[in-house]
Amino acid sequence: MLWIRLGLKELIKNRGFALFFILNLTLGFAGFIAIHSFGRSLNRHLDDNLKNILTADLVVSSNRALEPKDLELINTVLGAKKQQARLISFYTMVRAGQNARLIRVMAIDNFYPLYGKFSLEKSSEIKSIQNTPGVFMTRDTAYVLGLRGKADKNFPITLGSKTFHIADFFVDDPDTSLTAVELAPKIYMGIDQLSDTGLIQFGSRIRYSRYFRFEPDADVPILVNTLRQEYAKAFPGQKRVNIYDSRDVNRRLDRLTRYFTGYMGLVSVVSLFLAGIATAYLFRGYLNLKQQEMAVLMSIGARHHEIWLYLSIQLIILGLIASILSIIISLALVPAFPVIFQGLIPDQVNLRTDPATIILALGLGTIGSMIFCLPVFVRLFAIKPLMLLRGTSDSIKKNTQQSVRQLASIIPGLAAFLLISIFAAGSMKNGIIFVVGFAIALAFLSLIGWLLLSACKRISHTRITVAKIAFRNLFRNKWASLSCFVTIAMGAFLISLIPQIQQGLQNEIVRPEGLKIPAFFLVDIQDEQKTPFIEFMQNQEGELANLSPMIRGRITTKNQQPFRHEVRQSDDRPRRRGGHRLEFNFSYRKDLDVSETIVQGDPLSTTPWNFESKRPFEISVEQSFAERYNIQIGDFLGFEIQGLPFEGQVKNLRKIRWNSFQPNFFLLFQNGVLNDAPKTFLAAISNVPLSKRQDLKNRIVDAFPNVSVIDVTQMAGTLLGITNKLSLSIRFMAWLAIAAGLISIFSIARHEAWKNENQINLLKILGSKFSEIQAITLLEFGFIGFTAALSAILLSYAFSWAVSLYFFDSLWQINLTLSFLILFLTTGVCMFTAFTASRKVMKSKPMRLLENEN
Amino acid sequence: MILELKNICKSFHQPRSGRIEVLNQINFSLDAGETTAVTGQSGSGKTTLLSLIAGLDNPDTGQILLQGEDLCSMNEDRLSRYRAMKIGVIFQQFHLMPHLSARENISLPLEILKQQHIPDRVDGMLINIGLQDRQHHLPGQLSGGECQRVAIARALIIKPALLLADEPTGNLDIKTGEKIAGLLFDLVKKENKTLILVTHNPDLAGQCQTTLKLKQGRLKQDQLEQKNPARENPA
Repeated sequence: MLWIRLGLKELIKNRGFALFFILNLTLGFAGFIAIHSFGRSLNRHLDDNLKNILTADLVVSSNRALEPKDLELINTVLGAKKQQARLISFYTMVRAGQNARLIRVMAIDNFYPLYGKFSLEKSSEIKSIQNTPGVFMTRDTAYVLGLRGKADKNFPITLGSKTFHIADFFVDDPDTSLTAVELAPKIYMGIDQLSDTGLIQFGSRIRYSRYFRFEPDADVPILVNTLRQEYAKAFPGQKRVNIYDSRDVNRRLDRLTRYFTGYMGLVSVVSLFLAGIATAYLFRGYLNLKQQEMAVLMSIGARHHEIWLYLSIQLIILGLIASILSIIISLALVPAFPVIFQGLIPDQVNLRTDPATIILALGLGTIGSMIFCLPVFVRLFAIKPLMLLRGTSDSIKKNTQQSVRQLASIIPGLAAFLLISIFAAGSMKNGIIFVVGFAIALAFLSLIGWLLLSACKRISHTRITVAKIAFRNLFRNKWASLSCFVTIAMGAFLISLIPQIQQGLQNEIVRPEGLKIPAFFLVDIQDEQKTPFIEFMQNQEGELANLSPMIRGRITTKNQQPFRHEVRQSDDRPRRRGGHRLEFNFSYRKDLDVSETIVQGDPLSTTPWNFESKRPFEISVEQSFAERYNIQIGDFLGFEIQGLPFEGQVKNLRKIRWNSFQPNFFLLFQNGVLNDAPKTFLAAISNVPLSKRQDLKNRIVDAFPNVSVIDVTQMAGTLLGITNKLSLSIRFMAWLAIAAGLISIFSIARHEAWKNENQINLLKILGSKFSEIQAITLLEFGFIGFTAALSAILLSYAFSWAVSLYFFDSLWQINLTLSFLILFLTTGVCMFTAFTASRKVMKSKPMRLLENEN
Repeated sequence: MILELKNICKSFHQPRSGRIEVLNQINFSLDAGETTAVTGQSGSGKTTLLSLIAGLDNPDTGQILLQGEDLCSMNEDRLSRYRAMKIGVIFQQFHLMPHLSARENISLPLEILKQQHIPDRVDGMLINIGLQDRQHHLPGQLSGGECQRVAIARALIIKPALLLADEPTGNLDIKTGEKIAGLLFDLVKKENKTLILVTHNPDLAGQCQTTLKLKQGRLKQDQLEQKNPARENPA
């Protein structure tokens, strides 16, 4: 109790230190806790609604209609005690009046959904769309199709060769997964109405799903596993169906949640780190001030561990207060995230801070503050009551043991930083990459800071008194100045880096360099439609390009070994249970597209391959695909296409710019291999003026109802919308980091000012004017702010260039206006903050010097 | 005999001048209730000697026996507790805890040692030093003399076997210094304490029964135990 009482008294006495310590920690923790709280709320929502999201206990789906032998196997394994529902889904064009648009058809039977329900405006029954050609859609979809007034409700909607009407509008549908990222809005129709549309043709990309619901006591995971095993036994080496349950949905949604919260979490770690630097610095100053008192306590009988306890209690109290405040702030921040992510996450997420988050916050507050301050804490070992007789300066001399202790004390902090980063990123790999990147940035900025501060010694050799004193202060207080420099630089680095990368991303999406972005991307052109389509396009405005054949097939072997065992072990990307993908789309072309470049190997032979030659044909493999499946040049790959076996050899690896929206494929075969195989075609149409696009879309839908037309501009808009939301959220967290940085600067500047109080008063006694003393502070912090921001901006250029080289094919552009803005704002804010922080000291009377001496 | 120093040597390493011997073969002993002044020029080793006797530092060689126990053989924590129970130290700069009141400063050693009847003992001590009216004031609200009274009370409250004072009047004006010295010697006599007092002040040293003169780290043989005539028969 004595040490708690003493600790509390000490904190009350040192309110300034306590306030800034708490403020630093609070801002550092707040973002992190808010992200965590939001992530947990989202996960909880998804966990609670898994069956509703899946709409069943178990789903079997395939890209071909289930055959009687499939159904027999499924029924044998799953037994009789089950309900089932059917869904056939695919993308196609819908035509309503003068509008045509890509939509996702959801053809359902009477039993869909097995869990969850439709929320329909007129509470229509599902069977109302089974017997009549009616559809359910949202009012938004209807609006996009041009159906605006009530009178439009009976307006004909053409799907393929059949005309439908709107049976009802739904507000919510059972398929409540994260739908905003989807390509097109949904339209529900009766499954029995599908056959008359003529939309299901060879090569159409259609998903056939069967949903099953069991009795409440059924063991679904066992049923899933048994069904998978029975499938593997009955159809060895074939991947006929996908079987999944709510655990798979959970895994998928968990990945999405991590994607949303991971980046923001990592940025919040930066503010935590900046706060850590500042708190350690503040604590160091506090400990320096208090070491005499601790020596007094030791001289009257306190033991080392009691002094530890005395200080730990103070840190724990401060940490706890910071935790509580950060929980309160995070409660205010969390409601902002659904606004930021509107459309990307479910609407009805119940946001609340759960006990786990509160425990995390309190843990961070108590253990976190101890870990931050540990390197300073170990200095306690060096405090001896002898200093009371000899004076302070020679009492803390480092010996080897203390140096080792000092170095070892940094390890828990680094380990905690790594763990928190992995935790925030939701991935070991991303967490480590982040920490390594962060460490590089930190090391670079620290080195630059150290060199600059060392250079201050030379700059201080001047006749201008203000500059002499300011620069001398900088290099003589290197630790403090470096803390300031690094804190500001890391904040400015973040602020500069994020828009820099975003600009690259936007440029890449909107107008990739050297590429002609098409207006439309066409899918599912049938073989027999190829010539009519080419002729059709000759009479239209717009340029048909890259009409590419697409043949579906399986990869069976790699170098005579079964293909499924060849997947790279180090690939830690989560995969669906039940094996990886075995079916792929193949193509062939005479010349490579401009979006493709060969990065390794030689071009494919232009001589058509002869089936009778008995020699393997040549294959071109996309680079990332080759990496994922560990495919190298010279490897032999076995294929099964339309039931026929083939063997080819990898001739080259290609890099593809997927954002070009051109028809591209993971595997290209030598000319002659696939020419006679049944196929569909993909194509792109470019050079269509914006005003003519809808007309052309309508004409294509009228002439070729089965062809899906993807509006690339719309697609790019959706992608940009998502990146904007993500970058907004990251910037939001970056500003929080900057706020934490500014509080750090304020704390450090204030502390430095108090430390220099005697010097300031002495200068006054020696005749310096207030403006001169003011100029010294402004010059000191202005120099730090300017050089830190400049270094940070230059480093952010290097980082963003590296990122663009890696992710965006080196499309990189400097945003000079923003850089100048960051440079001058940072400098200005630093000067203002430091001036405000030290104003009180500057205004103190020189009398204080005499008081302090006494 | 309450204190005995045997062959005490202490040296320090200086980066430029190498090893400097501060104390060389110091031998002396004190009986209970004896008051001794340690004098000498600046740098003669007075403070070092005091820090060794207080157990704040270890000698290079030799033994320091307090009531028969060797301080040099104790570890840091044991020494800390032993010091708290047996040795009271009064500093020139007072070294009070700034956020604790006069009363709390005096009671602090007893609280650290978890002793009984603390309020009564503190009340008694406050009467002894004449600060009952100022007991709730913080050190910043007290004069230098009052602060040193509190420091003396804090050192005596534990009833130490040995009281060490480092220039106890060095930070005070002459008049206040005399008052504080008077109070210190009165209390030492009243409580029958053994006192070692480091000072430059010949008048203050003269009030002790013996004076040890240090010169270049050595106690001169002829001055080893110079009896102060004035104090030989204090009655």
